[in-house]
Amino acid sequence: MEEHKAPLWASFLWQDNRKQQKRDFISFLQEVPLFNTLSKRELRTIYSIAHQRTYQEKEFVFRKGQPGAAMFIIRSGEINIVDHDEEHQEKVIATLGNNSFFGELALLDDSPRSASAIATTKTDICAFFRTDLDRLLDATPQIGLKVYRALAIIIGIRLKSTNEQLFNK
Amino acid sequence: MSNYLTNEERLLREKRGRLVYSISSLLFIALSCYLIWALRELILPAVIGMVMAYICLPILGLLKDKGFSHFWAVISLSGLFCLILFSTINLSGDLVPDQKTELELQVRIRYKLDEKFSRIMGLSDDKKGGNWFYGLFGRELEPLKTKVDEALRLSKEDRQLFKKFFQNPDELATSPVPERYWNYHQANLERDREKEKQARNTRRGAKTKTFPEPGPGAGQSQESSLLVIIFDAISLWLITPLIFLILLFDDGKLKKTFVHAVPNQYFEMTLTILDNINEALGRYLRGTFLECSLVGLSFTVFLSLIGLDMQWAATIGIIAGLANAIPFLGPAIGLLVGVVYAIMAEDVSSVLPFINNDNLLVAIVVVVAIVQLADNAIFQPYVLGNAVDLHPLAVILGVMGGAVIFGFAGMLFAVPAIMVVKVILSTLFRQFRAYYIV
Repeated sequence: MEEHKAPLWASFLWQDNRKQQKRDFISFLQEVPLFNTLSKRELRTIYSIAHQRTYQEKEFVFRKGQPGAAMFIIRSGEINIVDHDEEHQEKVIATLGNNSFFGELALLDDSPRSASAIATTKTDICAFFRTDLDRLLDATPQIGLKVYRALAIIIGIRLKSTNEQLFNK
Repeated sequence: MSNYLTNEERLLREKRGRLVYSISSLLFIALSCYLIWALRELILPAVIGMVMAYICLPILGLLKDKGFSHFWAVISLSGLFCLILFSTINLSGDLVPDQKTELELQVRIRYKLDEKFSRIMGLSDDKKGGNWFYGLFGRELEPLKTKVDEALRLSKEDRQLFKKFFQNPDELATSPVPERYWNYHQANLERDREKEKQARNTRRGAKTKTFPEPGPGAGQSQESSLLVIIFDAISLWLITPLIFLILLFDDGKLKKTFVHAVPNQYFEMTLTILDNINEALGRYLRGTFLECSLVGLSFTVFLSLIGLDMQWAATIGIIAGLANAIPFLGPAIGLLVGVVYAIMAEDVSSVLPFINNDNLLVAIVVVVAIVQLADNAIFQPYVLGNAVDLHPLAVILGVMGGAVIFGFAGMLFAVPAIMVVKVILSTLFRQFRAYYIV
């Protein structure tokens, strides 16, 4: 799973294991709840708009208050969603592992991030830019519909669990 | 691996890293600057290829929506593009004058320019007198007219060739030069003789000014050097379709590779900036393309209405439409081309009964004014909207700078280039603050 980090010029010259990387990536997308209803052909379209990033331990993916422009899915590693309490102490809201996604509200608008995301270990992430997904929805509504429907279901489940947590408090 | 290093070693490693990155970055920048300078002749063809690909992207998207795969969408689009290019070359091939027509045009324009100039200025046959208009502007306009007149003057070889075209057209396997144009030529020659006589009288004893005549064989060497120039230009411009195809086949991979190289800290910000540039540039280019097409079409329709041949109306329409992309200067270029035609036009047969040879110039000026009015009142507000929000001074300086560096094409691409810089600068600082970078 470890990404081979090569300089920019190298990626222009050598296209060695690109095909294998693409196959691996599509297999990974199939396991993500957001995309598991898509066909292989549709997943290839999703692959064309995905950005792969690698974050080092303690590196921020985004910080609270920054404008949200992308949604992230963890390929390998671990991410802490953190906020600060009144005494400015870092408080972990959630810890996310493989195939989990976060920052999904950025897909709806560019309102500021409500919490920060930080890698607890070396983490491979796949990112989707809001405008790319919007264009995908325009160009291929059947893919967009499936993705946004899955997203709505997952956000609904998360909202339900948050409500339960609040109620139990 | 870095876990096995001591703090001191880690610090040293970081220091070495900074040094290596700094040196390699400097080398990369220096090499890039050198390459840009060395390959500067390729910049323009490459940019045109990029712009063409950019304009075609929505059509590519449309084809993909219709069920074409990316590969077949690009192939279909390229085929369509080749077809349009081929038809345009075919059509313009008819418009490009051969040697005989070129000489005829030179003779006609020269004769008509003198005739119209004398009529407007109220000059007699011996170029004496002059009306109030001549009194006001004659001193400024006369040298300009003389300059154009000299540029249109036939060389010794051209005069002999023109004579051959008139007297022995069968020898050159072409139709004869009409009697009327031969008379124009004789009138032009008579005028030259008069001028030389006058010059001799005023500067008696001194050498009369004669126009340099190309020596024997000069035409051939000029022709061969022209061939070399054309070959060089074609080989340079081969890059345009190449870039066009590469970018269409790329399907966003280039952008992904670029974004991949950006540090994590700037990832979202880079995507936002690229998106803003894409949106502003796309809106401007597609809007301008549509606006110029509408201006060109309007010119063609109105000019054919006032009596121009369809061929000439379409040619002037294409030139005026293309030039319209240049702010401020575009309408002037359209007007200039129209005026040149009005000067040499003969036997105008307009569907509007009140337009004839004498008032064609006025009719062309009115057409240019109507099209400009339509452009400013209808095309620009509806097609372009607020896609171009630049200060007029920036536009003028940009167009002049573009002209100095790349000539006509530089003037065409000056505004989009300024727009990209403006969008980058305005978005960059906003995003820097939003992402806590500054």
